[in-house]
Amino acid sequence: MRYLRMFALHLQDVFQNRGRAFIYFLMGLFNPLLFLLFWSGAIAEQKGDGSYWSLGEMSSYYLLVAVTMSFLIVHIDEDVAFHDIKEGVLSKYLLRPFSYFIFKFMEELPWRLVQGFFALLVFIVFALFFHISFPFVSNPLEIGSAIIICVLALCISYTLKMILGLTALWTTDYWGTLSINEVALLVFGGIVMPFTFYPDLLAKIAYTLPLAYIIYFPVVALQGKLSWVEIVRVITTQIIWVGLLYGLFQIIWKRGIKRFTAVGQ
Amino acid sequence: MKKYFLIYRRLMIANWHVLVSYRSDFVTSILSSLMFSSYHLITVLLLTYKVPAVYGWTRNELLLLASTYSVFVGFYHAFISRNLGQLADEIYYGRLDYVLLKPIDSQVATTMWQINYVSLVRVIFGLCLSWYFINSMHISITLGTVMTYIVVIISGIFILYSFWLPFISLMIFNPRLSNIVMLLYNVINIARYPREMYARLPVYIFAPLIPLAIILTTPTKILLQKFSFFMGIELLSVCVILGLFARFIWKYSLRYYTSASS
Repeated sequence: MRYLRMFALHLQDVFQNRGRAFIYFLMGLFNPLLFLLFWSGAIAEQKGDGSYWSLGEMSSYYLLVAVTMSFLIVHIDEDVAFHDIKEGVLSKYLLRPFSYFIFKFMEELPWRLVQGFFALLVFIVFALFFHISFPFVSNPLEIGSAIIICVLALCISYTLKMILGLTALWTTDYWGTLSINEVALLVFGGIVMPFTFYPDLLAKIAYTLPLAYIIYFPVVALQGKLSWVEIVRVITTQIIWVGLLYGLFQIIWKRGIKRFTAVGQ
Repeated sequence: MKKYFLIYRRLMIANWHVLVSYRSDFVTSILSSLMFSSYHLITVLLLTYKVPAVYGWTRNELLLLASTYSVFVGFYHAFISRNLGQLADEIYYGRLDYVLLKPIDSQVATTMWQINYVSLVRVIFGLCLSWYFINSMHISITLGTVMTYIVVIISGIFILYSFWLPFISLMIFNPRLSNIVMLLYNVINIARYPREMYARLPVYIFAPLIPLAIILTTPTKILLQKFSFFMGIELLSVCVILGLFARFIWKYSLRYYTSASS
């Protein structure tokens, strides 16, 4: 109940800052739309080897990337690293009788929901005004499994970002880690383009990393491009990643707070 | 004018001292700059992996455009963007008074104060890549080409500065939207692609994007020896019109600035 109240309080905060939330959402929209525009030209000119997706498939891919980025890409790492650790605010959480991990989740979740809502609106506007036939999952069972994949993707994203944020306990400055993470997510998360068009080696690396399970697989699941065997494999891999990352978080948290000096790093 | 040069010289020295005082930040910032520079190159490499040519640009030409982006954005982040980010914070926290009280032009005082030398790493990275792609395409570069390239890059920086400033000036009316600076960082991405790409868009979307679409396409076309007199006139016109517009919005917005906590 107390965590629910935290969620409600943070939700109020997000609504108070809805203008900021909208700008954050717009930031996530930019790259996918530019990539879509690039591909629309490539598809129209058809100068490649002819193995492209259709414009409808590409449009749905990039618009779903924008939606999933708004819903699933967590930014709590910056708050943890810059605010809690660098400025020493973490000490107040250590004194409180609740989990830092869950508290931060309740702080982040309203932002994801509100920005995801904006993204859904844009998706609907595109679908209605541009009359593009989007391939989209329609079978109720597939819809259910796509939702499970999205929820697990959020768990991976959140746990991974918490771990990255906590690295500031050792490095103090977080800019280097942040930039590496952003670039890795763009390339290995499938934001630049579907892995189908990647060079084989790069695609194999991408499939091995957890980043693909945050953006790429939720998107293709929502497009209905995954077979039942692939759905089961993706969900199983996601559960393994959540377990591994949570275990790693616990280790880093226990070791990290011993280094924390309470007055800012 | 001499006074401003002297002030800027002092600022350059002061900013250098700041840079060498925070060494760990210096190292991570260099790493960060190199990561973002390589990201733009990787993106184009991936996008063109199965697309040999698009919008009349070949793969190598698109890579040269990406390299020019590194040069351009390196200069922009070194001399301009950090100041505008800082300005957004000054407005948000109501500290702009301190800047406005200085006995120099308010626009200079707010937008030319900080220099981020680390971003010059991106310039070097971009120049090396440009040199590589120019050689691989067997393009001969003359002194005239280099001079025109420099002038056009400076004009482009001024256009982007004039594009950002009105948005940040309008924050005076709604200081809570300080994250608009982060959005503007994303807006620069528009310049990374050929302007022909935006010509596919409806005219009411394409027209506002013209300033951003030309700032990198024009210098790249100079290197590719596809530069025309019309492109130069277009760039200079946009530069002057947008500069005057930015100045007007800045002065207009300042009249409504109500200081801290008001």
